[in-house]
Amino acid sequence: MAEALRQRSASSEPIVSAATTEPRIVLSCNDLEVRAGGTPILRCPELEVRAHGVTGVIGPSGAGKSTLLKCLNRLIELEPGLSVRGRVELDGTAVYGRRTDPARLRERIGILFQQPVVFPGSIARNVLFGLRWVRRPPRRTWPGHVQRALRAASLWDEVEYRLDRPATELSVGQRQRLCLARTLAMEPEVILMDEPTSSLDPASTEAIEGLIRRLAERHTIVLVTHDMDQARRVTDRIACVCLRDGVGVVAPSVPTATGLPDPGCRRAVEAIPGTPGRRVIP
Amino acid sequence: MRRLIDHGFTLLTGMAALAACGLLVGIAAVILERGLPALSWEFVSRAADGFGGGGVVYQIAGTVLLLLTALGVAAPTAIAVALLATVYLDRGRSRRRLTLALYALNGVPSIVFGIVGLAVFVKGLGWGKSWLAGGLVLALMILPTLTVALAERIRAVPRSYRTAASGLGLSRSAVVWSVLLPQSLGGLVSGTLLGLARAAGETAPILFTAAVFAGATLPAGVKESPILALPYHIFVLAQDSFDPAAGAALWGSATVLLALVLSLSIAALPTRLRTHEEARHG
Repeated sequence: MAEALRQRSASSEPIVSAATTEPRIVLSCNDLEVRAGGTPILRCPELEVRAHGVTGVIGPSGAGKSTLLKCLNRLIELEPGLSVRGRVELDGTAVYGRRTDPARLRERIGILFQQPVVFPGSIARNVLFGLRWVRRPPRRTWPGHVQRALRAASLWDEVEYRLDRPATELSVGQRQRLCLARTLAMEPEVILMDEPTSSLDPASTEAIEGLIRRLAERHTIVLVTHDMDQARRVTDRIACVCLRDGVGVVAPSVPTATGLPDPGCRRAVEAIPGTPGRRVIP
Repeated sequence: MRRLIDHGFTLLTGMAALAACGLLVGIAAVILERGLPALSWEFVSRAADGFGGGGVVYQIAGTVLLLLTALGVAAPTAIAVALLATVYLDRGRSRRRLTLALYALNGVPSIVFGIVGLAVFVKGLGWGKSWLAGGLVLALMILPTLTVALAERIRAVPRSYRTAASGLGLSRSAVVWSVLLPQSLGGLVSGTLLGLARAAGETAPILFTAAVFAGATLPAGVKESPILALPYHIFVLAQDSFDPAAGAALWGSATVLLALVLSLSIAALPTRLRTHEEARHG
């Protein structure tokens, strides 16, 4: 897997598949604006997320990448003082529509946070957390759900014999995969990932990146990252968020291999601390 | 100079802690020294006989009944008010007003609660002296303590837990039941404990509403169903403490009341320890 990822990273060939038909648009934003106490902090004139692929969102810290992500599943509404205007659609349905239930929406659009959040309790209980409170499956089906979700998150082999141990005993990388298993157990159509590898060691990062590619075969993934190498390895398309006059502005997504067309975005991305000297994204 | 101030401050805080502990030990020692000789199985299992004779079994039963009534009414109300203040009231102004009302209620002297109970339950509703009137007045009195303790614990639940649970598709009420209340159990237990400890020793609120010195056993209804209670018993005996029989019964009753409060603390200890342990290990 590591070798494959490295080869992919080094390759100059386009990452997008050579499919002749355009994948359908699952998520889209139009004229989205986030305000903090009346002051705009993020604008997204246009963004499209295509089915069964990984759309990356890249940009410097504080530009509003995570805020954008939270707008997509209305978690932004839990942030005090922020308000959202504009249109976000999931499969043509208005995300901010009056008839849209935020809880039902979040079942369909799962999210993985930068820091893994495990609840007090066992590994198995953590996997079942969302299922038990939202879908309430019969108790006899719980072991099956746990196994499927943990296998999908590539964690089953490591925890198979300690499912009733506290989840806090796991390493940070394992906790992140546990959180992914918990999200996958809900069988979401879209998974939002907010810098899921930022607190992980290289081995765990590699494991998660491999997982993201595999999950993209069945799910639509939006990945926030500030690591351009990671964007090249993992994403099919990429959108950039950069700061203009103190407001984060999201540029439309482009195929990762073609690079960012906007010179301002390119400069902003290259200026991210930790960026190698070479121009990773042309 | 800086070290001198540091040492001085350490000494000062140490002395303050010593004084507080010394006072507690002193009070307990005085009560136990005078009360233990009066204690016997007969004392806690027999009904009172005349002025200072017999035992205090109905005083214990009455006190427990008052506490259980207060707990049964105040605990669910406190949970509802605390959730309103921390989860359901989005607007800052309403939240502040509610908090202000709770603190104002906490500052109301207990005799005022007694008079209100007299006006509303005893006379207004025509209950006469009744265990239910006393229990309700005590519930009203301990409500702020319970609510504030619980609300503080709810606010202390990591925000990431709420966000993670909401991100899985849990509705607001499911987040309350799955995350906020289980994580705040310690607050409810300690708040209840503090509230009941205060209620157990209060004489003024039950003086006009529930308690009589003699002539009552276990209540058979609500109207005109007074009870005997330890604080009121101690209050009446203390007025004639120069009588040796009354003095012995007085200190014996005080010891029983102290034991009642202490047993409440000990009963709640495992829950509090478990909550602290979980909070520490995440």
